[in-house]
Amino acid sequence: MDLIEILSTGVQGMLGPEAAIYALAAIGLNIHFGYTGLLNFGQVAFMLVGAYGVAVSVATWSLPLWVGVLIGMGCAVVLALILGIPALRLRGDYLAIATIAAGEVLRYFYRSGYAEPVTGGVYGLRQFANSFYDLNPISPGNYGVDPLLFSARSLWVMIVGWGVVAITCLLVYLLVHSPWGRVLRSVREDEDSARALGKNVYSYKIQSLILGGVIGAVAGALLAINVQSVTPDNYGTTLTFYLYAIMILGGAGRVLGPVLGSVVFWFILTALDEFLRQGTASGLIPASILDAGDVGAVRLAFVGLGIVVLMVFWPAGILGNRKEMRLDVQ
Amino acid sequence: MSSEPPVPDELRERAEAVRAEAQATRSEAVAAQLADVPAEPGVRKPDPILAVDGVARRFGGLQAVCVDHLEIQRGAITSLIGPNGAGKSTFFNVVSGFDRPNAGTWSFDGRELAGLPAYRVSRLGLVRTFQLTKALMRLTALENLMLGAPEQRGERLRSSILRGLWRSQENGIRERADELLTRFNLAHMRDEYAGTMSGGQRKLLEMARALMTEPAMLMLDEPMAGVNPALTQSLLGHIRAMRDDGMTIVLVEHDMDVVMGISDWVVCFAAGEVIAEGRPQDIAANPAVIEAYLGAREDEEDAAHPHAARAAGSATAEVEPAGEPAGPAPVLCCEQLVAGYIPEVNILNGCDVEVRDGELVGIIGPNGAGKSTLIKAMFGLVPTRDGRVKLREEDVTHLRAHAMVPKGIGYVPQNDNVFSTLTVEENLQMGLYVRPHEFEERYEIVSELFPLLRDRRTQKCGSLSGGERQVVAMGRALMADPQVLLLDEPSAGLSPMMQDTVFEAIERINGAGVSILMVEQNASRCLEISDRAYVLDQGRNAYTGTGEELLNDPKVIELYLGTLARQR
Amino acid sequence: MLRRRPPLPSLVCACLLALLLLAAAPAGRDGTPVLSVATAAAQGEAIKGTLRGPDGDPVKGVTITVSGDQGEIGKDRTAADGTWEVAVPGPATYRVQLDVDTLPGGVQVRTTSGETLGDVEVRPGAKRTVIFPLIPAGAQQQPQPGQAAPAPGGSQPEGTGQGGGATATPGAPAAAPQPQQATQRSFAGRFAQQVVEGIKYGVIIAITAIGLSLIFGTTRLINFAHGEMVTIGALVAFALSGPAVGLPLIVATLLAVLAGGLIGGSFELGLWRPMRRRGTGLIQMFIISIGLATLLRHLILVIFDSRRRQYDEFTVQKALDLGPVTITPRDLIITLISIAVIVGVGLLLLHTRIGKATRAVANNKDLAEASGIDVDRVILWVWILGGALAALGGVFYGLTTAVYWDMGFNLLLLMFAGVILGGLGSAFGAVIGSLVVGLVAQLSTLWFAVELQNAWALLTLIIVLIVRPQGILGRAERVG
Repeated sequence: MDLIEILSTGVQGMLGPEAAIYALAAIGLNIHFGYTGLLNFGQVAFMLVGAYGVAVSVATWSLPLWVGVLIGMGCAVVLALILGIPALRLRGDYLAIATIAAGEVLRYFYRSGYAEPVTGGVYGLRQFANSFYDLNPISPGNYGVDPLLFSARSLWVMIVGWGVVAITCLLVYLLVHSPWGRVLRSVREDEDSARALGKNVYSYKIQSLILGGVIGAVAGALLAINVQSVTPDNYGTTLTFYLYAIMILGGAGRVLGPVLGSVVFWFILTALDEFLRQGTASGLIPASILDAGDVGAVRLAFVGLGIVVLMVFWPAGILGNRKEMRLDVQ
Repeated sequence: MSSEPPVPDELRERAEAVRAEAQATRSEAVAAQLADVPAEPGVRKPDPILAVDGVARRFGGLQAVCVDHLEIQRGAITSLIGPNGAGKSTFFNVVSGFDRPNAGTWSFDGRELAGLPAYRVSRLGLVRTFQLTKALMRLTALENLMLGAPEQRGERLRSSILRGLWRSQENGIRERADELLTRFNLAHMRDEYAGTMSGGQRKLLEMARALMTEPAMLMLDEPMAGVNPALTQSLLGHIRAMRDDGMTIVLVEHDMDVVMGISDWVVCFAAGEVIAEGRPQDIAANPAVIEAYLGAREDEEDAAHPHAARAAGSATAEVEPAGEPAGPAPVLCCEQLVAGYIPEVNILNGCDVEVRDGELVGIIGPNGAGKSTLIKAMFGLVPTRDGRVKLREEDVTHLRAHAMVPKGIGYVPQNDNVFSTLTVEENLQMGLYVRPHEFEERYEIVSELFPLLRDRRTQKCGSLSGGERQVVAMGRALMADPQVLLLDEPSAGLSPMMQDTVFEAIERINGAGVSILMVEQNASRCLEISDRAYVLDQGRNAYTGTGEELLNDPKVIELYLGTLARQR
Repeated sequence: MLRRRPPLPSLVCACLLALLLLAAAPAGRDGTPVLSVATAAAQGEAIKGTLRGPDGDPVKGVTITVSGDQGEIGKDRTAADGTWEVAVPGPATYRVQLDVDTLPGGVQVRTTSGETLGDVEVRPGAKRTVIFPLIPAGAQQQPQPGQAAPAPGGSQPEGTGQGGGATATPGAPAAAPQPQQATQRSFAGRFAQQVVEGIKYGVIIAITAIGLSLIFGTTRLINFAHGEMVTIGALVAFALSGPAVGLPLIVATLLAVLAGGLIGGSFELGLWRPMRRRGTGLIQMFIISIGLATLLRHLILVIFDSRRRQYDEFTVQKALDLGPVTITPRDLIITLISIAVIVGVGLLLLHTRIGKATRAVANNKDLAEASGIDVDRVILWVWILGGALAALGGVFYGLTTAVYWDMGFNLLLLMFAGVILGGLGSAFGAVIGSLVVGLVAQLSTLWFAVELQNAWALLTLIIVLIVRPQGILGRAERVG
């Protein structure tokens, strides 16, 4: 059992590209849920269209990568409109189920045989982000202090990923601290009040859905670029649940909540993973209880437990305001 | 009220002249404008800002609102009054675009509003508040107010991230918001979350927020409900000040002192229709209004001998004179009961009520007096803060409702008082859930009392009429053989004929030996059949007496219609 | 806020109870020395498949060898349900070979030299599914096509691949039982067949959805963990009927139903009742149920790994020919039992005291309380009933498809669809809605690919939500 190893893996996980990407997707969700009060459980659908926007544009249509990112964002806008125009009139919990279902339907269609010529069906698409990595200014090699090392490739994705997160956070900060954000929060608190004050609630909800969705699409695009492949089954409903866990952990309705949530989430996840791997490998944890193959499942079970414990005991999250939470009894 | 003669030209000229009077205060001007308007429902006003025509709103079979013609005078304070369920709030919702009527048109300042969404109505200058205050809990008081300002550049997504585009406007809005906060005595709460404010402060906040929109007309839905007397005075001051600034105010209000004191014009609703309108003094003297509030007496001859009518209709033995509690411990009583729904807001402020064996006791009082809350609190449905409820000698203050039933208390709520998806028989079975083996025996007794229960045994309650539902609900409560039955406004929302059925049923139940405590808004009918009655006002006992005494007591009418000064 | 006794300990107890029941299950099912079933959990790469004969029935005891650049990596023999799985050390390209000598008589691989598949690529974290199509011996073998026949494996990324396995593995959706014949049948015949399949699918969804609907009706909670109650039911029956315990499946099913009821009851007592008392918001509870579902699902994965299994009994049956349609006796009996159970529950709700009380609570909770009904007890009863029904539905779903760790989660959205189509909170509506979902899913296969059948069902849900949010049978909520 090597504590340094465990901690350094944890740090690697919390700084790594996935943490940035999940943070970004959760920022989008935070606009929906944290600021507007929309129970969007289909955030993964926006990531899906973002990822495929890049993959299909480059791999199938041979367009430049940046065009692919734009197409992905455009798809997110279209999806938000298709989903939002009818669904935003629904009651909160109905909206949740409608968005989950929409995400699943989309995934089924992307992986179907009909879509295979374009999306690669269940096989997905691969090797479409070479032009992104060609731009990598960092010369090959490993950087950092042993054992905390990042490859030049990872560093490049991290720089871009966290850079996008920083820019998005700034954008969200400016947005929610503007009169626009004030209207958004009033919609979260009480739609009727906002209406009575002359605010077009429906339009604000759609704007929120589009904005958060586009951010989710960018996260999806980065995810695709990071692993150089997309397969539809990477974009299942569970991913949205993790984003909720991240957002609530960090504090919903806080600009930096999703970022902090993602960092902590990934630190715990990767450190736990490493701990369990070492434990099972060294025999500290008997194979009869847990073997190496179960590690992935165990850590996801912890995600579930985390959501329950957080919602029961700590619904405000790390950055959340407890006083504010108490006001949320409706 | 269908075809009113056109407004005489002289009236219009006079209105112009009045408006021209620079020296006159607003209130004098308004009074002058309305001075010659006849006090009839649907009458034309010299300078209406809102005109409503043929607006009807139905919920299922219930006609909630049906207004042929109504005009609201510009620059005046108009109050809408009427008993519970008269359709005032629904009328508000329709006019402000929050509800769609089944028919009708209405125009505001010459613009048709029908079909416009609520936010567009608001932008045209017709702004409303809500009966249940809707403070934006997790926004600060300042943010609540700033939200109200119209046409903010920074509310557009594109310009929102470019501070320079809206900063100066925002600063202006903040200044105005701060002014209003100071004016409404909320400056100390400026940066606190609205959710941490008291109920009264939220009312003030909501009103101030509505003012931020710079409305031409403000519709206030029960602005004084749940507000303490000191704050009420300050709210009234604000409303007057708004009128003097040239704003048109429409308010729904139950407190008649307030209505009579502040209004330039009063409109009385009953059963969805405008039954009377006029200056406050016209309304106070209008028999239709008194009837709407107190209920029509059964008929003139019986009214002269109310007690006789009751005795004839029931087998109740003559009761002992009221006011002198005698004999064994009362079946049910409460002492100094303090209760309320929301923490820190008490609806009951110390009530005493007792029901003795075989008595039919009524509870009457103006809207918002806490009548329903009282019997709900006695039945364990509203948290009690202080005081005691006793069944015989046993303290049942903190028992939950389902535990009250086996002890011998039956309760019939005002609304939703049957299981609509269950049959009549199943409803009755639910009433005897605790002792199912006695069903046949009790069913015989209860259906003897109400043959309807036998006739409609297998029919779903959802398909019954309102009066029939009430009978089923009472039958359900009787199944468990209660010592005392609590009835919450049994006649509410029923046609006069149905009301007769229900009152007759109540007398029959009482005649069968069950003590009854009944809250009723049809005060006359209630007093006619009651042995004793309590009159509640503002969560306290106001008067107590026999039904007959109270029926002929002018103080009761005054309490309802508010000419009684309450400076105690 | 923390005034009340924290519900967590009791929640943990509930989970432990569930898992204890599961722990009776053996790890490797029929003692085949699988090289490393364990490493083949969600995380590790593996190659797997289900070997089925021309009639769609699984083929047992066939050796399959996987080799890489350095030679043989591992081999497995197909289990009774035809499944096999070989863990591989990492993402790479492998060669998979079926030992034709171990094939039973009467079958052969479809393509010439189709017993060897080169270039089977395994991606990081993925399990690659490989199919060896078999045809009757003596039939014409097809020439080897350019590319090997390995089938869509769908990389199963950690935990997110719900549904992936369901549609990629052959025979999973019981949609097209006889694909070869189907093409020859008339459209009317196929239509009739799919109606039968749809009803079968629908009643199974209905059994599980009734509980979901009743729970919503009485507590307003959308229970996201209902799918896991289904899985646990199927797994308990699997464990009890497996070689370790060896009970007949029918007895095991009854015990599983009992366990399902216990689990449902303990969720209510340990988690939901304390949460309600605390005044927890519905959305908060909804998210808690999502967390609970995630927790349970992955605990099940740890204990049961990700293999799809079949119950020992009633797996291989000859279909009955009933005029235009064919159905196996197993499916026929399942359908009939399901219908009987649904009718039974309906009668229970209509005619028993507790059933009426349940409807009363769903109709008007406050009035029920005021009538002297102990609402908490009724809700407890609803959870027990819902848990028991979910477990039964799980066994049936497992019998008609397979038993695997996220089977309930796969079914969950379809249950939601059924419940919402029929009008939230109405048990009878849930039955109708579920039948619609089952029929839409199966009938869609007449025109569209099988893999999209659930997508059409969910699309129906979305459309109904938007057009008629109160559901097909539900009443519009009163405004104002």
